[in-house]
Amino acid sequence: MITLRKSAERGHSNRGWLDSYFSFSFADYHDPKNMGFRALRVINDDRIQPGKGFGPHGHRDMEIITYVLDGHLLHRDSMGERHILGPNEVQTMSAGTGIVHSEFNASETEEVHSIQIWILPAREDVTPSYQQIAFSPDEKRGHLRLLAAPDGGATIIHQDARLYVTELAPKQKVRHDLAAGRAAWVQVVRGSVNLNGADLSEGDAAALTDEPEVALAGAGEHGGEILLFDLR
Amino acid sequence: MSQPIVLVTFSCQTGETEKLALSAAVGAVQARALIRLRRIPDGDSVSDNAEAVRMRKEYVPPAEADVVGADALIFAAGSEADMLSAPWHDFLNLLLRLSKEDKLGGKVGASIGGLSAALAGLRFLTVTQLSSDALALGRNVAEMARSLKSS
Repeated sequence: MITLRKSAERGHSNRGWLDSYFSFSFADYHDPKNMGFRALRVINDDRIQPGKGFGPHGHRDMEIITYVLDGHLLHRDSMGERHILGPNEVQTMSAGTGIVHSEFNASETEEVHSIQIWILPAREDVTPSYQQIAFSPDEKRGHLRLLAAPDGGATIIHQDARLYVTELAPKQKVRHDLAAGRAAWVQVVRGSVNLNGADLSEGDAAALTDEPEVALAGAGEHGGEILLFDLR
Repeated sequence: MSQPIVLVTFSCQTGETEKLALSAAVGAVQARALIRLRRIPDGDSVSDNAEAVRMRKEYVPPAEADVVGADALIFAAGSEADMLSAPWHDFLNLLLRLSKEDKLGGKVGASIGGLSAALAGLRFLTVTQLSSDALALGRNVAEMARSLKSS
């Protein structure tokens, strides 16, 4: 079964310095029917104005993954980590027993467009950690590039979930097999794609359950970029 | 039961007291509290060092709503001189007024550094320096606030 979640159905908040779309309930947007999907709790599509950002705030027991589409984010945290995150990189922070961090647009002139993802961990009280990896754009062009997984090959998360990214030119295809009992969430972060016969545009998403595979093809004039979650 | 809210208010121009404030905040998060971190604005002696510039960007000053909405308050000042600055004076006057209006009763108050004397006159339920370790202090304050909230 494929359940579509169109871009316009998402929650929306515009505070001036921050323009966000929420796939699931977050902050002032609360929809009891959209509290997450399996272990996936948050997908926020954020545009942060130059020089602005989230001041220091706390997290506990959450796997927090950040993927930047355009611009650069400056991250600082209570573990002493200080990094700049840009396109074709992924950052994963395991909040575990507790961390405090801040995230700011590292540029004083350019907007940053990023996707923040929260995944519920399989167990509480893990030791907080920070990971950031970079990859070549070619690794995601026409391929599923693993960004986060519990067992290596990417940043490590404390959950039986895998996050991939792929960028597809028009009509370019990738497939991903879903094992029995597994589900998938597909989030279009840029452009347009076709998913198992359904057309999806930027901001659209789909939940797949009891499906044997995820078949993706680039659509429209420019194709698209998607995040694919393989979830227990 | 809702999580206790711990407000951590500090003054700092070098980043050193900020580290203590962050440790206290992490301790509170470890104890499953929500945190609010606020920085007292610079007084007359405004530093232009990179840390001060960064902190001016990252933090907002404490507001009355922050104090009223918190279940526990932790204060951190780098030195006695900090506490004599006009912004600290203004903040302490706000606390004094809220105390007189009985809006601090039922809250936990704690300090890192030299603020204990200044806080002693305020009508918190508890004013205490629970530990010289900022992380442990944050944790203890949050646990105390949680206990009071549930009682």
